[in-house]
Amino acid sequence: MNSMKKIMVVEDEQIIALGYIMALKKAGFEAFGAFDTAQKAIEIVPSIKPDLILMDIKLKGTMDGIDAAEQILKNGKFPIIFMSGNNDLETKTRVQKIKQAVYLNKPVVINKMIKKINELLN
Amino acid sequence: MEKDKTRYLIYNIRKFTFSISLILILIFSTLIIIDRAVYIKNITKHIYSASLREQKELLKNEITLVSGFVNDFIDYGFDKDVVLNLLRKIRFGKNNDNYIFIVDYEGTTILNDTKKELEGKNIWNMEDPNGVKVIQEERKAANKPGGDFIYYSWEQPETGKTAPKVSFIIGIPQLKWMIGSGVYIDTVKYNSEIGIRQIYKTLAFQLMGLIIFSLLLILYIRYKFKNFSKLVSTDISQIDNCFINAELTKKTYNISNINYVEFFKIANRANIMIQRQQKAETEKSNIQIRLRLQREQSPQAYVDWNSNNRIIGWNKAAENIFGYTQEEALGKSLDLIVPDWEKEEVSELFQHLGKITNHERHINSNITKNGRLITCEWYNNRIVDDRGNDLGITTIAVDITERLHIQNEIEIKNTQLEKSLKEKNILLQEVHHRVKNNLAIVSSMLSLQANSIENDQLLELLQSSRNRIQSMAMVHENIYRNKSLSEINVKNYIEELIGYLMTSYNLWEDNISLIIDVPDINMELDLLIPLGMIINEIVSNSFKYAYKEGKILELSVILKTIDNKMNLNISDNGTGFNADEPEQKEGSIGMMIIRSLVNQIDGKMKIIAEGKTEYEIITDFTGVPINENSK
Repeated sequence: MNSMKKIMVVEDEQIIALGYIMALKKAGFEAFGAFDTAQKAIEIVPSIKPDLILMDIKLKGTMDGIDAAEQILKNGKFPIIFMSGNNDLETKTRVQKIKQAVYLNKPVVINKMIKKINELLN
Repeated sequence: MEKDKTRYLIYNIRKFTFSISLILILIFSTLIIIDRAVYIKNITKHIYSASLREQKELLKNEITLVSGFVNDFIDYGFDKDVVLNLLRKIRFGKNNDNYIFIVDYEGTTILNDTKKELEGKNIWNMEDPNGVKVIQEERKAANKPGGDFIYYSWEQPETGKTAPKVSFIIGIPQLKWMIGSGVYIDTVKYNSEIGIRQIYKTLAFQLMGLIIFSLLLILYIRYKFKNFSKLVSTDISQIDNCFINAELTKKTYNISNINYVEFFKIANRANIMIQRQQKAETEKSNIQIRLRLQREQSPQAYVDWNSNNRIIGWNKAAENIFGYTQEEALGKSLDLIVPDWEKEEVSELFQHLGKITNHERHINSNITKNGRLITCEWYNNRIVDDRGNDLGITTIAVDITERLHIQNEIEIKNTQLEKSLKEKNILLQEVHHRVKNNLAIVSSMLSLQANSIENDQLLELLQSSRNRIQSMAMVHENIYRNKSLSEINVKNYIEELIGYLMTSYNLWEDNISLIIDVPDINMELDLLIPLGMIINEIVSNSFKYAYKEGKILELSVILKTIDNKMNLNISDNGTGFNADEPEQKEGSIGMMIIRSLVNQIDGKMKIIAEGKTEYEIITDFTGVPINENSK
């Protein structure tokens, strides 16, 4: 039904990422990940060519998910779902500057996440 | 240097010439005098000898001549008496006092014009006062061919006194006469002395001439030496002027006219000293100018006090800081700028300065002209001269009011920050506590849920979930308990976790042989939480699948840290993976969790699953032993 859309998971908590990946697979998506740093995500996008990116904002390393999204979007249009436990205004303001970006608060409800993915892909 | 050598040589030659000249003159004069004295002694003897010899020669010639005449007269037939009368009248010699006397061979006096009483008398045995038998000696002499001289003493006709005499006697054998004539030796001496006196006179003139010459020479030398002394004294006075000028004008002296190398060197040295003094005075002047400028332009107040603690120096900065002009400040006491409550302390400080130490740093309040209270840091120095006389106190003041104010604010801020940090730490710990509690609540809920489940598999799943939650909760509990915010003791945590798991799976010490070898190190949460979950999965698997009822389960959990690497080795004596157990298969949830967590810690894992089960996980790690952490 979802014709195997590719969803790239960028998340440094492996267990959480595992949860996302299993849910995505169950929902019929092709899940790639998890990539735990912004750098890895930026480098892997050209080869995976995902249809959507699930991006945790807080990542390992100096760059966060928003920095990674800015770089990735220079080379293509990708819908991005940002996920974060950080609810501050600054983060939300930064996210709003990214086009085709959606923000989900952690802990992410899986059903809500799948629904949002379907909306963005359709 | 060559010039010096020449000067030195000339100087030495001069110096020694004068001395040597005087010495030579003295020596020469002495030699001349000695020579003349010796000459006089010799010539006296000579003159005397020559005179006596001359007289004797005269006597001999006369008597020989007379004897010849007598022989001729006798040969010619002259009468003896006639001959005697002729002979009686003969006088010869220098003073015409030599006479002829004749005595025959038997000793009878034939002729003696001065002692006529002896004529005709036999005086053969006559002796002179010295015992000389005169006539007998005459006979001996007369017997010798040509005659001879005899020496005896005889009465002088003029004085009647006996005196030494020398006579020449010749014999006339035909007549048996002894003819003789003599001369008194004293008379010879006397005549010699006349000659000698002449010589003395001549010599005296010569010596006088020598003395006069010597005196003149000495005077000349003296005169020349005086010139030499004049030169020396001129040079000395030049040197003296040089030093006087040095003191008054500080100008170097023209020393080219100085004659002697020693004085030249002294003058040279004096000039060098003058130049050095000039240089030193110039430097001193420059330093004074610099110091004055520094003092005037310094932002620090320079205040000088005399020994009565009155102000004698007040720079621009002092005017700016305290508000009083120099005119207003000079002559005033401490009261001008020291508030009442500080006066006693400051006065005591001034009194003490110089007794124990000459330097004192002090902070006190000061009061400005417009009544503003400020705080200054004072650097106080008592000045003494080379002889230890007190010259007063010089002080430098820095207004530190603003600095103190800022320091105060910083301290307040620091206190606030520390308080804030403490509060934050307390809150953080509280957060960990609540997380632990919340996880415990979740675990309890699962436990509650388990009560309504009968399915063993479901129960096991719930238990596994609870254990996973508990492994995370323990981390937070450790943080809360140990008041650490980011690190936990690995050894304590792993021992506690495994202890909990044993309880959870109803395993006790009598059915399990446990080796836990974990170093006493701290580990950060980011690594420890996934590690704890990995250990939870593997050990749980071991308890679930490797343990068999009635057998001892051997389980070892070994963690090593070597060369910034951590090596976790968990093994049991089970039979390896059991294909029938779905959980054990590759790709099961537990294995997925293990692999994901190993990935999360950037680790590598090796599994041996045949014959036994062994997991080896290696990752980077920089931990610090506890004893260093506790510093």
